[in-house]
Amino acid sequence: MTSDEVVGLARAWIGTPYVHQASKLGGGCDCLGLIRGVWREVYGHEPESIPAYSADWSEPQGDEALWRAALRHLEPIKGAELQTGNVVLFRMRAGAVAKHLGIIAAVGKAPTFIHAYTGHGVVESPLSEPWRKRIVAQFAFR
Amino acid sequence: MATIVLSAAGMALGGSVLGLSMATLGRAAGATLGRVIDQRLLGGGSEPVETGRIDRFRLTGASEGAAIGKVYGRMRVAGQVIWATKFNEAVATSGGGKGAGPTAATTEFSYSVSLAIALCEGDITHVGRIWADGVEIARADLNMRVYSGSQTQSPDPKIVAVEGTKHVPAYRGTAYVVFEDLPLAQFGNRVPQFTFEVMHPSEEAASAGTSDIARLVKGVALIPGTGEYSLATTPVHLSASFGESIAINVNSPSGGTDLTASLDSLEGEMANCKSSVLVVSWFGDDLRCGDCDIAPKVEQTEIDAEIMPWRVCGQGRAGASVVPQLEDRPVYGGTPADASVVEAIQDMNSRGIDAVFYPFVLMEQMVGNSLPDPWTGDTGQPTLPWRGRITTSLAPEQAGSVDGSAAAEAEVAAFMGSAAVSDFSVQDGVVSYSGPSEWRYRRFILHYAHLCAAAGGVAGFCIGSEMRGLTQIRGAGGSFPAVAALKTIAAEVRAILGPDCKIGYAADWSEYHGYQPVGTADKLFHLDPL
Repeated sequence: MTSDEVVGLARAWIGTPYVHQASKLGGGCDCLGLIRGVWREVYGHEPESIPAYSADWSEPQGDEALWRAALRHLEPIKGAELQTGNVVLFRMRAGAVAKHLGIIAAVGKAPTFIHAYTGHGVVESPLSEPWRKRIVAQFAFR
Repeated sequence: MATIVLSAAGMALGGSVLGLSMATLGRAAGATLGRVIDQRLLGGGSEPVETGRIDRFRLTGASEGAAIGKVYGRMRVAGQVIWATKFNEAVATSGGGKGAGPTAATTEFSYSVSLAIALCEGDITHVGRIWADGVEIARADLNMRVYSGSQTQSPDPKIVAVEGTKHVPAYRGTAYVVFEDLPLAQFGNRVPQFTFEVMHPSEEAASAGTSDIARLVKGVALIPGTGEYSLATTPVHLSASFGESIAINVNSPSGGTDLTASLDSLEGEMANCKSSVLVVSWFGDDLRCGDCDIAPKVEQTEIDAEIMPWRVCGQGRAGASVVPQLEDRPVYGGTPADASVVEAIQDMNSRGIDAVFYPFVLMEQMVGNSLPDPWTGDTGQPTLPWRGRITTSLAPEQAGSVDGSAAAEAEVAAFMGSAAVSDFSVQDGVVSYSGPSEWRYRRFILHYAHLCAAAGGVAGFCIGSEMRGLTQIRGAGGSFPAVAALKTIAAEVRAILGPDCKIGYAADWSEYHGYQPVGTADKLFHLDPL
């Protein structure tokens, strides 16, 4: 699976409405649902059964569950250089659990990423500096 | 003068007749009359006094055609709203339903809005404090993104998501902030008047050496080096009585502990500052080195923090000595708890700020002490003296001084103590001590060398500072026993902290060049071996 193919799969999801905990192309998904959907298209099955989680930016347990789950299924990438087709994990607020995901769609002068944006659905957003600073980890599909 | 006097008179007159609103009118009438008299009295061309006039209103605007401000240094600006969504209404219903008691269903409405506020021309380095309606608010509570106004910045994803990809400029060259889904309940369901503390050092000049100080500073010293929890990144609360809880190390509304807030603003305001001296103090109690204990102390022994009990070098709060009090208040803050020092080092390391550990000896002699003063022979040592005054039992200039004898060597040896590297053990980031039960200099320094190593290492480590009187003590045969002892400590600290740590002694300006004993023409380069 090349990075361009991953980006192509993710772009197909653009316009899917934002629905918490869902993962259905055209029907609705959240940020994790988008990654799960792309994963299913790559590998043909769910990565694992997903426990319940809250819709806000943190979990009361303060456990980096999403980060650990990503490590179970994806290849962690070291270094600050972003690559298209990679999954990025955002920490939306200092001190909170890292709980937002996106897929890098373009790098260079006008970097973009595809993510399920609360209130807007799946969109391709410019990866502006304040968002880039929130990235805590980068993963590649194996 | 007449303007002020008459406006006051007019106010009294108006106020007494028709109430408050008339007072204003009366004041205006009085001022107008007074101005005419002023111009008569003071002659043509002189300016009448104007009071109460505002040179500009610092209000957030939303008008078209307004100028973009240029800011240098540190300014509080209100900005211009350049983009906003409609109010977003959220409805949540609770209660009611089948089988429920006679409770009515409650529907709660809450409102939020997203908006972008342009601040000034870029490229700013930092947005510091933020005020809403004049009250400083915690930044962590706002979902706020800052665009510095660089020439390469990208459009904001929220604006793009609302307006569409092709319709959003990146506002390059304009510094602005974006609030996403700002809840408005806390501001009375309206958008508050925001003001921002904006930092913008002057641009890098072409010729070297003329840059703004905010860009030139490479390192700072973090003082005062006292305060039991001042170095912690964990908020610590003390509970003096049941139900009462006092925040010890959170003293700003900007969020986080004092250390976090300080390092945040250091990073924001001085991007090139990549090093900080981390000062930690223990307390000495005598200027005669042979009798001087150096120990960590607390501000009080009654209450301990549940989340981070005070512990330094194996000593808990209960048995620790208390710093001297003056008018029921401690004269110094206590020694920072070991756990807080570890947090500070780890926080600095993760931010990429080189920590330079700097042990500090504060002297605690108070007014009316009965200790013999080695510098005069009188009873009573000076109040809170400088550690550079620590010397032999009688200073070298005094008649009968042990300086230059084996007795002086013994006094220095007593000052240093007999703690050995092997007396310390590290487990889970906690340094324990099992050596002789004494509070002496070697225990002080070796403890912190181990603690710095346990915290993940430091870029630099001072084994002492400004011990001018001590390093000049001479033993038999003109030796310098304190310098030799510091040399030994330096080698031991090197073994603990590894080859990459810079290790040094912070000499005072009056000792670094050498030692010239009083009444001689000698110049001894006593610090050279060190």
